[in-house]
Amino acid sequence: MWLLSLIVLIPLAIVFFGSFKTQAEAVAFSLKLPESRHFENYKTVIEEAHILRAMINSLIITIASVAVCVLFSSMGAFVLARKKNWQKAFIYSSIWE
Amino acid sequence: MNKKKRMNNSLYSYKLLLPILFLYVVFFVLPTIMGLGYSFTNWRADRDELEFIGFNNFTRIFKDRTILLALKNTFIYTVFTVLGKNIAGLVLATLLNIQFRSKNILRGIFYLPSILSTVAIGVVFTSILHPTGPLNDLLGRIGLEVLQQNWLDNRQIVMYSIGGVAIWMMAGYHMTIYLAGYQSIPADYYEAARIDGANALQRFFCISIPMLRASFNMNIMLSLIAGLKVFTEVFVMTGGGPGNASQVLSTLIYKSFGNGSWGLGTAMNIILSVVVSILTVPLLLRMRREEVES
Repeated sequence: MWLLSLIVLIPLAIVFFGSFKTQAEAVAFSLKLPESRHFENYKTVIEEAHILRAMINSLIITIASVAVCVLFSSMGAFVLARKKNWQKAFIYSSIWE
Repeated sequence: MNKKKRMNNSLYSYKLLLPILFLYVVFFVLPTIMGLGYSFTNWRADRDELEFIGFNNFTRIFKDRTILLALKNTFIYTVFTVLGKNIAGLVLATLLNIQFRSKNILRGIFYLPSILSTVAIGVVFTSILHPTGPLNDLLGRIGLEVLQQNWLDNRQIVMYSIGGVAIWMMAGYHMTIYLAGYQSIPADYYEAARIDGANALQRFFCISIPMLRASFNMNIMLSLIAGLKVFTEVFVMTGGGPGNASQVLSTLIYKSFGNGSWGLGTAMNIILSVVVSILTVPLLLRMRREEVES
């Protein structure tokens, strides 16, 4: 099983090691350990690519949609699960994609 | 009984349905109906007024060879990924359902790719599948030069390469659904079968497979819809290339919207929804029937 998990781990490891490499080293996409650790890559991403702003945006979308889904869908689901008549059957079958 | 029924009706009033029904109608039903209308017009980015042109969009689409190729590619991709994701997921779930010490961490590892962004995975795999990338390098080192391929530039195999990446990504996701199904199988069945002398293979085919039926339905449904609607993987890794060799329905729709032919794009979208419905509705009905039976 551990051997099989390498299929998942190796690509992820390449990316992880690549995040500490210089541009020239990273394009080779090899599993070599970085020659020197470049933590400034992370600094660049935060300062120049504004990744924090992007994360906040993702967070806003996620929170809003999860809140709406959980509240409204559970409200609807309660009705649909409890009622057993033709109106329910109609609404249920039309909501499925 | 009658009293109880009345209480139910008052407790779970239809008013509770209104918010979700409102959202559903505004964001799904109305756009769909409007889209159906627009698909019969020559709506374009550079035109101010719309004209009704009947089925012209549809005849134009079906005269075009690209969309037939896209349909074929979509089907190849769907069949390949549905089979691949489900077989890989089932095998992983079966192996990780055995009790051993590191099973939880391994489950986590296999699930990991499916929570990553498809775009990021696509970019990474474009480099991995590059002719001089790590995959060909590895195949060369273990003496399998025969298998070295131009993964994303060979017209014959490009759909399978993209499908392979999708399988790599989603196998763990389907594994979790199968694992959940495994947990609901009572252990006595296996015990009884073992006492009767059934071997591991017989136990798998005669107990696990039939008992996992609900998980099979769910997984096939999800992977079928994902396969037919595939966009991100193809768009990031090849953009439909080389030429049009890996064009699927969604990327063609995107392309025609990008060209400004909005009417044509909506018409294609209608075709995509029809294809998805034809394939998924029978499956859904079957699932519903089984739900009632059980």
